[in-house]
Amino acid sequence: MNQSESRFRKLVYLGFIVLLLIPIVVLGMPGGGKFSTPGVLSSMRSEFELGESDIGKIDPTSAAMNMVLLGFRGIAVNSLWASVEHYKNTKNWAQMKSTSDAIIRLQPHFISVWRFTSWNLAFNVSAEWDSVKDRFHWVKEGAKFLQNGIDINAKNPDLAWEEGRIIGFKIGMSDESRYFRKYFKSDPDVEQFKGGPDPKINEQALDNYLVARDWYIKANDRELNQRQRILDRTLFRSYPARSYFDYAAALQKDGVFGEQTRVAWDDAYRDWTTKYGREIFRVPEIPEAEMWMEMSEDDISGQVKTGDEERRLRKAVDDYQKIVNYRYWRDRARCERDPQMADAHREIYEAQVAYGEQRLTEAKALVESGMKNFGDMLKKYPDLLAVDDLLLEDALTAVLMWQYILKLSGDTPTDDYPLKVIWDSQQGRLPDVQARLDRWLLEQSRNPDKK
Amino acid sequence: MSTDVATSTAAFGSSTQFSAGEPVISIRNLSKDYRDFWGRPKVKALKSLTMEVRKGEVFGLLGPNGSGKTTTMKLLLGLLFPTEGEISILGRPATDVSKNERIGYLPEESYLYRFLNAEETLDFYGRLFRLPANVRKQRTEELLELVKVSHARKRQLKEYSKGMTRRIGLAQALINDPELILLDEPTSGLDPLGNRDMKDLIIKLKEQGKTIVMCSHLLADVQDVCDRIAILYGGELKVMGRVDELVKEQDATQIRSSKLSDAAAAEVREVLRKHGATDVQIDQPTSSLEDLFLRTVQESKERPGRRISV
Amino acid sequence: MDFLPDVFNISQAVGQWLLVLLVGLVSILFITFVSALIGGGVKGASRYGDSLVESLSDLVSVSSTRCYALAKLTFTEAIRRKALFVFVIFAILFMFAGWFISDSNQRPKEAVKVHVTFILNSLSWLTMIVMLLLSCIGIPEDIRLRSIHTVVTKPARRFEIVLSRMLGYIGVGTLLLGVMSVTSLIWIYRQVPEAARSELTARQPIWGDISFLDRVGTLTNAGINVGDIWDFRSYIEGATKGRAIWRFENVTPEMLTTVTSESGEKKEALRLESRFEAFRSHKGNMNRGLNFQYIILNPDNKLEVPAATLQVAEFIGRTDGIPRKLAGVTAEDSGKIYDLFDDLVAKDGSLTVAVACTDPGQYLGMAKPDLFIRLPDAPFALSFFKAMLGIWLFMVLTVALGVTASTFVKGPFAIMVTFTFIMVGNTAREFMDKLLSNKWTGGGLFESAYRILTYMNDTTELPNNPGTQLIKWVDWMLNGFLWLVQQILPNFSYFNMAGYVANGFDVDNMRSLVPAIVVTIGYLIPCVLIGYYCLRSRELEAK
Repeated sequence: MNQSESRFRKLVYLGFIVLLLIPIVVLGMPGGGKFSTPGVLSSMRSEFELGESDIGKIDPTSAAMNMVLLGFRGIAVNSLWASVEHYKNTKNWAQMKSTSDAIIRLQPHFISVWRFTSWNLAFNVSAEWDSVKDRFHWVKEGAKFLQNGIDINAKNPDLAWEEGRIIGFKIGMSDESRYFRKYFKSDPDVEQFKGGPDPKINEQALDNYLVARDWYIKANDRELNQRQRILDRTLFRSYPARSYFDYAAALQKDGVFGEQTRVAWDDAYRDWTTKYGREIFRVPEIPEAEMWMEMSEDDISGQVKTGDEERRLRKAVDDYQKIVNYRYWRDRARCERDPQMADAHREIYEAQVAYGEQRLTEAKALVESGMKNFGDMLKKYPDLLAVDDLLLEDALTAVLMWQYILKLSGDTPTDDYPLKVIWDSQQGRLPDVQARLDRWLLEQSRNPDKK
Repeated sequence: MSTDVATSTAAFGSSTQFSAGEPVISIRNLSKDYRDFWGRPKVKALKSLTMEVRKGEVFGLLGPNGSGKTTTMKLLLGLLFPTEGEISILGRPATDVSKNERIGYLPEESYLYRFLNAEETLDFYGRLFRLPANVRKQRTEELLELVKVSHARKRQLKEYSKGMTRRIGLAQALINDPELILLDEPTSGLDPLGNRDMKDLIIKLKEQGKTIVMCSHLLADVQDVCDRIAILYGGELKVMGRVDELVKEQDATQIRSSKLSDAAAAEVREVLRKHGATDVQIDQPTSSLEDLFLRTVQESKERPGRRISV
Repeated sequence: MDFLPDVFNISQAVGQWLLVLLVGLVSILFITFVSALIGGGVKGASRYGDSLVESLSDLVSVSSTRCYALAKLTFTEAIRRKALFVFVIFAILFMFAGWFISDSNQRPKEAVKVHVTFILNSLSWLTMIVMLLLSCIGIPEDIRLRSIHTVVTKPARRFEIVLSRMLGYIGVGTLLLGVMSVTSLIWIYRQVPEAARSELTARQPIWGDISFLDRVGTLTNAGINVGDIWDFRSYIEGATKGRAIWRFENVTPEMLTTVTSESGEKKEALRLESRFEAFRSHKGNMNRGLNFQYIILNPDNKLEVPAATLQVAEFIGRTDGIPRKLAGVTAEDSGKIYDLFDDLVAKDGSLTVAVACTDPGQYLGMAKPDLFIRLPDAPFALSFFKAMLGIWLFMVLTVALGVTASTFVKGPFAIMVTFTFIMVGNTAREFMDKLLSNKWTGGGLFESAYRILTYMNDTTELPNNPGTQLIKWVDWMLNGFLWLVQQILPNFSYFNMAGYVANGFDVDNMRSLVPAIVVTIGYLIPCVLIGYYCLRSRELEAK
């Protein structure tokens, strides 16, 4: 080979290199410079908000780790997942948690990983532990893990919603909810938290549903800018208001009656009808009009031009109200915020307590008054009867209680008591309700000091 | 250069007649094939070599690159295994490690541990001979002096020049005060001064009664120090014999002197002519071994596979 | 602790090892002899004899001076090749490890587990990789640079070269591990939260043998399976005759420990530590953990004395003292006081402890290591350095394998070969065991491939034809090969003692430490021999 040939070849190589550089430059040019236009990838990144700084907090640790791994992140993550599965199966929770943390360091913006792992910790791992305190610890682990994800993915609404679910649903609705709700305000780790709450999840010692509500609100705020991928939008946005319902219902369940509960229901009602009910949705059934839940006939006709549109909008409002159970909750809250209803609840509860303490005359008077008030309220809101709900169970409990009291005091039940309609129509639910009541009474007798 | 000269003009094969000393190395029908990965013979590096080296002599292996000199040497040392033939070195087979106690070897290029310094190097090799500490220390001193690198004794060998490495290489070959010394290209990489030193040293070692086998393509060196030589070409032995015999032209006489003036030369010419000398030439001497070498190579190319008579 | 290897049977292992070594040696000698005979006839045979004698003389004429020189050379080489740069990686690891593994939410005990495991594992792998690289390139580089020429032309035996290379690298590894272990120990002490320091300890357990009684009181060797994927523990049902029974050998009063009771008073008691798992089939009383009861049995006179009723502390475990004097509770012996050692330890010196669950309808899961007598603890450093010894042995084995591989292949290949060997041995052993156990249906490689491609489920019989025969035969051969590989691979699990240390246990000598030593020696010897043979039969000229 002679020299000119070699030179020629080098020139060809150079040509190829330049040729290959062109697409790299076009695609990969970084944006943000004053004079240069950003490359395709860069503009796509900002369009879809995929840049690290768009997504949220940049974690130097993750960045460092990913750099060290060069291109082997996928492989590393795979093997870490395998270990997580192994640790989970062999119940090595500490290692499982720390391995999950490592995964998340490698993929800090992988939303499903955050959701999966937090669920895993708060629901699966916690259920494996025998002691309720330990269970609560792991629920907290799940919640704290997720908080980290919420910070790192500062625009994502899903994670905030998920946090609301752990704090609201897991703590408030699980079998252990009675303990969890207590622990949420006063952590069982007395040594560390001195009887107060764990500040990382409940700084102000609030009720779990109120904290959950804050998370749902945060989720809703974020949802305005970034689409959520969990529920239908009408449902997703109803959660802050729903938390109020849950809060009020939980207060009742805990035996807190009177003004506090009534006010809670009142707040819930107003939140539901004036805030959520006024929120505007664009739904595919009638894209040309705005829709909201609390739509009067005037509102509907104000939104549409033709009769067909009016028909479609009316149907859409009706459908979506059904989806979110709008009318029921509206009625329920309206009913519950009535002092008469609050009295009914209080009387029935106090009757139970009196029964447990063998104060039969007092119990009888209470339960009968309670039944009457309950019956009056149901007459006022007959729609409530149509929905399968805990409210009806409360009514059944009242009747059952009444029968117990009569039985113990040797009377026979009359046939014209106020809640008879419900008693007759809801016989199917009776065994459940009875079992629950019996257990409650049993526990009550075990801890006489607990009130 | 004093050697116990054996006079012989007989054929080259019967080397026993060359020297009176007992054989230190004897090689019979030694062949070596290099094989490829699949075991197929690729190169015949050595073809049926038979020769002997006797005690106290300086034996030179000559040949162009790739002629089999280094192969022969490595076979002698057991670095390579023969395909055919037998080697006896100091009365032992080549693979016997214990023979190494009495052998010193300077490889083609000084393959030393570059991360050691001169002192450490000699100490390390001394330990391999299980020399006691005081002896090691003493030898190290002596040898460093001898090869003239004592000024750089603490420097790692990777900082050494080629010539200095070569000197350390020689020193390590002598650490055990060997009876038999194998030198592969001893003067390569040395400057003229070092070259001179090396040759002086070889002669000195010979005077101490050591047997030396060296291979080289620098003919002047060989001619200066070797008693006997063998010329290899393409793995075959072409020429073997005493250096002075080989380069001596039987029907000519050479007279050497310091450079003569033209007048003096004419006078000498006249004197010679007076004694019936014909074809008188008076000129500067040339290396006649070089002639021999070139002639051998030339003839080998023309008529391969034949032993060449001088 | 959720694992407890069996006690290592040294004599059996050594016997088997000798047998394998002997068979291997004899077959190698035979094969080489026959090939020499075929290749060179009588002359070949005599040459073979010579070389055999030479090899033997090489083996016996090993000189410590030369070995020292060569080992020192290896050591110097490694150090001057900047092997100590690994300290930089190590330092970085330590500086930033805290970021990755510290978690303020962590419970103290878990923090200990995570930190200790992390340190021991990273030390082990870091050292392994460095030593692998060093040991695999040493000899090939020596050959490539031909510096080995100046060594083998000295009286240095090739056996000594192989041996000393290993020794030199082991020296380097020892230096590395020595520095890193002390640093790590200090780091662990500093990094572990204050509250968890007490978990940095080395429990001295006395293990017992476990057996079960089923719900009607019949002896079985396993309890109930509650559907756990992990079949480590088996369960007994509460408020039935179901029991888990541990029998501890040679229980003596010397095992009594001073225990501080809940009321703060100190007394002598037999410390029992338990880690049971609770499985609730109904919610039950959520205010407390499930209850269990220790019952001390004397099989000689069928005496049963309940010792204590306690709550399960699931995944955490609890330590309780069984007092020496126990009161009888049944109608006959109520008010009677029994002495633990005089009345309850059987004549053969064994103590039998039964565990019952007292909550009806609930289950307690137990495995052999879940209950043990806890003697006074040893300092944490003891178990830590034992685990370091395990890592050291792992390093020695790595070096031995690496050097051996490097005597017959070039550096990069030697690295790959050794690394594969170690990785497969470390990760795939369990999998291979399963494959070879014949518990998996669907046949071997080809059969299962055939089944997958033809959508045939694993219970359908293959058609009876020559194709099936062939597939079965090939699979049988492959299984044989797999068996051989599995036999050759060392059981690396012995070397990983992190589980003991992380769980606050002393490393068990007979279950882990001794086997690790024996395995290392068992591989070291053949490795040196193979390495020697390969280097000896090799022309050191190959490029």
